[in-house]
Amino acid sequence: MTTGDALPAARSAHEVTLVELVDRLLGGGVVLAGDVTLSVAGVDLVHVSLRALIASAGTLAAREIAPVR
Amino acid sequence: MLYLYAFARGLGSLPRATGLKERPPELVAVGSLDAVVSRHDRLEQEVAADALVAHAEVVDALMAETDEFVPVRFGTVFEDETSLQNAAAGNEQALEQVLRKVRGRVEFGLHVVRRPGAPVPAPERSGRERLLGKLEQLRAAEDAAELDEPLVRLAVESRRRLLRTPRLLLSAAYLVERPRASEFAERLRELVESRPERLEVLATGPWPPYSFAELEDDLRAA
Repeated sequence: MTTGDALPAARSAHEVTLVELVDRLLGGGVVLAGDVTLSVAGVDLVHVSLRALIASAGTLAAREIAPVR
Repeated sequence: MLYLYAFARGLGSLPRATGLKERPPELVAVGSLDAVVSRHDRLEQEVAADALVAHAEVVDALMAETDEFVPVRFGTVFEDETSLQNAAAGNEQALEQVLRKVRGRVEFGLHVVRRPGAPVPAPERSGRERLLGKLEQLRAAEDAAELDEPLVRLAVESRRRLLRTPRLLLSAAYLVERPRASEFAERLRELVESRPERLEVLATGPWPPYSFAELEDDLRAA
């Protein structure tokens, strides 16, 4: 959600939540040495947009992850 | 192959979530814990954002079922059960330790950001101006850190990072007892509403305690 500034419509609460998700899932959680480690394609892009995205959010985002799909 | 989401204890039923590549989550007993996994013939090493969402949905579903679980970082895969058993056995005590720390607790997140339009030190200025700019930036970050003092007091533990970028003054995660979660959310909401005009505040939660699930060995290696 935005705070009413002239921000691009794409900066939705869901996107913000996805960025938060990326931040946590790739930076948090216990790390075990598995046989294979998957990486996420395009994550750098998401990280870059973190700076822009969180500048737009001013609410307690509902944690609805499913609609991100 | 087994894709690992989390370790849990005392699960009454399986987490009700779709799972990675729509492979349903199941439990594999490892010592005194259950590993929550899905089975796959093969997994691409490069996956897209929907895989992250699938992982998060399983862990979220776990959080709804039990307060005794340890989320695992995205992307961990084992060739077979033996390999998973070995990895878990080698970390049994550390996992117990993490479980004790995060049990019955949830995580909240906070970002304090300079509003677009608020001045950020420009790189092309003179050395003295750059230094003054840096100082001003540090001061702004400290102010932001003061904003969250009441939250830190309510939390069991917190992680704060200042100035991850020139605009991102404060990034924080808080570990909060479940019974205090709604009180904490209320405080966050107040903070968002009373934020100074020059700042934006993004608050999220409750999350599974990802930021606080760290094995001792990771800390040592870091």
